[in-house]
Amino acid sequence: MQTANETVIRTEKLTKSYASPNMIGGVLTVLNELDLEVFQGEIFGFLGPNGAGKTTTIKLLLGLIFPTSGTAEIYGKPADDLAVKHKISFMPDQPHYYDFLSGYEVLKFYASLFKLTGKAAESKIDELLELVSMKDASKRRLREYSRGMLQRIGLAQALLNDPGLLIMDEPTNGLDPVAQRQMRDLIIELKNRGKTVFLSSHSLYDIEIIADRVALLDKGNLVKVGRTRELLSRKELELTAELPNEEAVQAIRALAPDTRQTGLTVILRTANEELIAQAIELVHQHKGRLISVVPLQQSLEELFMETVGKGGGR
Amino acid sequence: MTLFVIARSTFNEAIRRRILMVLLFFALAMIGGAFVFSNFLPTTQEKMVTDMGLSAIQLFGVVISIAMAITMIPAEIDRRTIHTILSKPVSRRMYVLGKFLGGVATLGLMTVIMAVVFLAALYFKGDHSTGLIIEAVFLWFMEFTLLMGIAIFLSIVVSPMVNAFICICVLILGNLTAYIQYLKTFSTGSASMVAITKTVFQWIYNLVPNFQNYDISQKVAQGQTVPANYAWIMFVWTVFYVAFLLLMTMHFFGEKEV
Repeated sequence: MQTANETVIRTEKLTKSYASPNMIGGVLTVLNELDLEVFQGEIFGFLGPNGAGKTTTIKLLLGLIFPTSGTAEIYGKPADDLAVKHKISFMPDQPHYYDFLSGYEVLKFYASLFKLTGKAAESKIDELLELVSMKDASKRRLREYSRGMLQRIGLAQALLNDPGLLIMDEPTNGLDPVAQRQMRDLIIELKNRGKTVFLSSHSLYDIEIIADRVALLDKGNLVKVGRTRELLSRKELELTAELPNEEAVQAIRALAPDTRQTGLTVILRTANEELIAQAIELVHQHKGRLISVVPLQQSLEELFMETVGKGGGR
Repeated sequence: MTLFVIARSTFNEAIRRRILMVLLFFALAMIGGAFVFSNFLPTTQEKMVTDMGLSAIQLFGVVISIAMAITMIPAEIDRRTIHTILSKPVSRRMYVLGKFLGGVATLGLMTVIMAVVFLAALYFKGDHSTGLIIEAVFLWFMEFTLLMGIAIFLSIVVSPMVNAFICICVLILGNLTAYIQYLKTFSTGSASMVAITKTVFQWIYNLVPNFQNYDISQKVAQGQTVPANYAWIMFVWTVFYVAFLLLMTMHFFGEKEV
């Protein structure tokens, strides 16, 4: 029985190094002592520029490659344990499936790997084809599919075993805006059904609006991890007020010299709550109109650029 | 069950590969050509046609088995189809075994098609002595299976081109093992050089399968017989050799990063 806050993924000092091609005896560390916890029922956004180590982490979690040191556990068992693979699923960034098969046949193939056959497999496949809106195209060969259709089949194959944990690598890659929206809705729907989603993506917008928690990786190092809202919170307040005269404006400016002014409207940004309280007091004293006092939020893109630098990775 | 799912998908994919169909077409053309050619030969030379037909089956069987096995697993790694398969509850051992079984099934189908065409052509020419020919083809099939086992093992550790080169070398050496034993006795030079040469030859002799044992085409062409249990002995020997190769493949693939 899975409970809320149960740890689904846990990595401890997970490290992956390769022999450096540029230096004899040298070592290239692509993932450096990654400590991560992903909890039951959350959407966990995994971000980083190219070469940050995202795909390496996913491959380690799937047991496709092996750690140089450290451990990766899923549901308390080693990531490469076969029993774990009944409970998880993977949707790759590039659609790599047997393209000589039709969409239906591909799903049948993957279903049989879960020993799902006969009527049970057929009804599950029909249900999933309906879910990803691929029923009409299911008899066509994969090589005739567009990128978006392949992504949909990719999602369907990842849901065949009704996984507790879904590992998704760039799920909105190559999708048009409408399909991207549908994919996001589907991911939220999966979360609502109690699934845990480990989502690696370049789309900061997607992550910002759907991820409960986010981890930022850069050059193999974990540079930030936490709840999305908390990470994006600047801990600053913004006061906007309309004042009756220049004298009132100057009074506010005397309080906070950085105050911006447009005509008789002032905008004051500060992390000092005491200062905001004093400014409100002044607005009232001068019989001005307080328009708003709002906590400021950073966009994920701003956080990303601030954290991993403007170079966009290596 | 997983084993057969992987085997079936390997078989389904292989029989759709254009290169295998082209090779099969050439094999059938060569077998057919041998019979057309036989119309221009004196009756005494007709056994040569049997020899040519069997040689065509052997040649194309060898090419098909190597061509198929050298890319079977590496292509799945390159295309990354292996990622979605191994992220399912499929052990690496079952995967290797499934790929091998699928390959052998494809090879079996190709061999049967070539043999049926060959036997049908013989039948229409009035030669109804099929027993020994079936045994000869069965032994060829054992040889193809063994070669496939070697190529699948090598595909885990070397590139397809190197793999093909080594397989051809093994095939040549395997057809010369009797000479290797003979050459060993002719080692010359210093005592240490002779010892090294003899050790190398002995290792080659011990490791490389004797492919001559699979070749009874001369006996078939000359109408001779082979011991009744010969094919079974070769079958058992091949099973052991292939089992050893598959265990090695599973071991190395278990440690391979994909």
